[in-house]
Amino acid sequence: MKNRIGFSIGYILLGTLLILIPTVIFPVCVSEKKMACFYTARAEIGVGTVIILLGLAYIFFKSAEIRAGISLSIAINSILIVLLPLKLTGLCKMSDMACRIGTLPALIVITIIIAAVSLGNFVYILISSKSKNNE
Amino acid sequence: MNDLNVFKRAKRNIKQVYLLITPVVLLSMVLFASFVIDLSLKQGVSNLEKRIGSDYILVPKGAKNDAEDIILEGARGIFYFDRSVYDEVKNVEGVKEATEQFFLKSMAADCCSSEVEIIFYNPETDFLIHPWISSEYKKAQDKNCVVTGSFVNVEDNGNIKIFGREYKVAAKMAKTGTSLDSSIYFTFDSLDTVLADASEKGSFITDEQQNGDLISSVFINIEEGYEEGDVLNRIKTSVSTDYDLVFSKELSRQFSDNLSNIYEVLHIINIFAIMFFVAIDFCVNCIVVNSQKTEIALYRIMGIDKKSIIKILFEDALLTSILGGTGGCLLSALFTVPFGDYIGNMLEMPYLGPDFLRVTLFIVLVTLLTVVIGILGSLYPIIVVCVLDPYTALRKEGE
Repeated sequence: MKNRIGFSIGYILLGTLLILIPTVIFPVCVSEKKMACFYTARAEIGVGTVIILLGLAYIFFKSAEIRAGISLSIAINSILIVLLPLKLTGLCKMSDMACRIGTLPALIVITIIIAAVSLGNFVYILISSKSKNNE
Repeated sequence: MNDLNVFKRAKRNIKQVYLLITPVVLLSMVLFASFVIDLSLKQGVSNLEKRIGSDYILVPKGAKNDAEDIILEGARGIFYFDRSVYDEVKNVEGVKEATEQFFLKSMAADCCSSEVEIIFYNPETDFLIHPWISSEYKKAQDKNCVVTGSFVNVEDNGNIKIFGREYKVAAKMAKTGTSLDSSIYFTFDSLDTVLADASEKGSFITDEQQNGDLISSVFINIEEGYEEGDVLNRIKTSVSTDYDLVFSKELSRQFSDNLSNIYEVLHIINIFAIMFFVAIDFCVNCIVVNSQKTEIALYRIMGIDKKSIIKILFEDALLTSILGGTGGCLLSALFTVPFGDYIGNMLEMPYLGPDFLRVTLFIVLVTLLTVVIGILGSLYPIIVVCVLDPYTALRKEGE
């Protein structure tokens, strides 16, 4: 139960933080013309929402396998967080633009945190359920 | 005896490990961050000094403040005087080298949406730009080529579009952490074309800019062995146009002096952080050793000698210091290294982050420092073990 509540809240907070990074904390470039980083920010809102929903779902499942699956899917989603600015939608081209000096490093950091937390939890659930089965 | 393994003990006393490791993590975070910021500022300022690259700069009368802003803050400005100033200066006795530049009002290039500083220079006399070139694509720069700063984006085909016209990028400069990073350099051969394109694209170009043979500044270096005052006097008598003199070396020295206050603050933070966390580490060690007294007493009664118990405590201190030190450095690196450009931007100062090798070196250094502090902190528990009478300790526990 502790794991369910703790990690559910953790995932929801990380998802919320991901939405806040390109919109509030390190906002992408402001311009009348919609630049690449504008679309990256919108896509990150989408990824953040998915992580929040997965975090919400996490609390409702007792089954260790399902919770491990949810954690793994959050880890896979975290790859998208950096792929969007670096490969898929892109950012402004000048290296001193706000989206490059603020948003991108923040997205890299949150990716590392989300991937570490979700993969760590995935491995933990697998190991603890295996040892329970052995008992 | 297997139970005395340092990792098994750590697993058993996990709460105490957290308690011991937290101050170490915090200390290494503070130390690592301050080392990185300190080095980045020093590298940035050193690059600024090298970037100025000349002893004096001649600028039009009244443009001294603008010129200083350009050098220190990368602010944009337009000021011009006649090219004859350069011709008059270069032949003055005692002038080792002189080169002229023309600044164009900063424009948002078509390639991107941010402002870039457009500068025209003379590659034959230049001694300011070429030392910074990191990757050269083309040996000679003609009128269809540019040299770009490290922040300026080059298209995949190696071209850059400015005022609607494509130019080949002849070379890219190394990252300096200064305004040089977002500049584009043309030779004087391109001046007419660029001005015509800028005018066509709606930029305001004055008649003076369009028609005159103008330059914005003359950078000079004084020949060694000559008295600077004498050379400046000779320049004064030789140049017929009114001008202001920017003492560039002195300017960078002043800037460097101003930064020394920041370094002092960082050093004070380091000293206080070390003192504060050593005190906390000592207190935590006291709490932990008091709660471990029974365990230690039991070990002693079981026949384990003092030397072995001191070794156990020493291993505990080493484990928490290495784990805490490395973990703290990695956590701090997660924020200070990727956000280097952001920190530089916030501080509005030249800032050049450390490379991978230096980051690794800092991690090793800070971890070593935390190990020393951790061992110092474990001295109290070791003293307690030396004077501990196991039977008295157990009796007190029983009471």
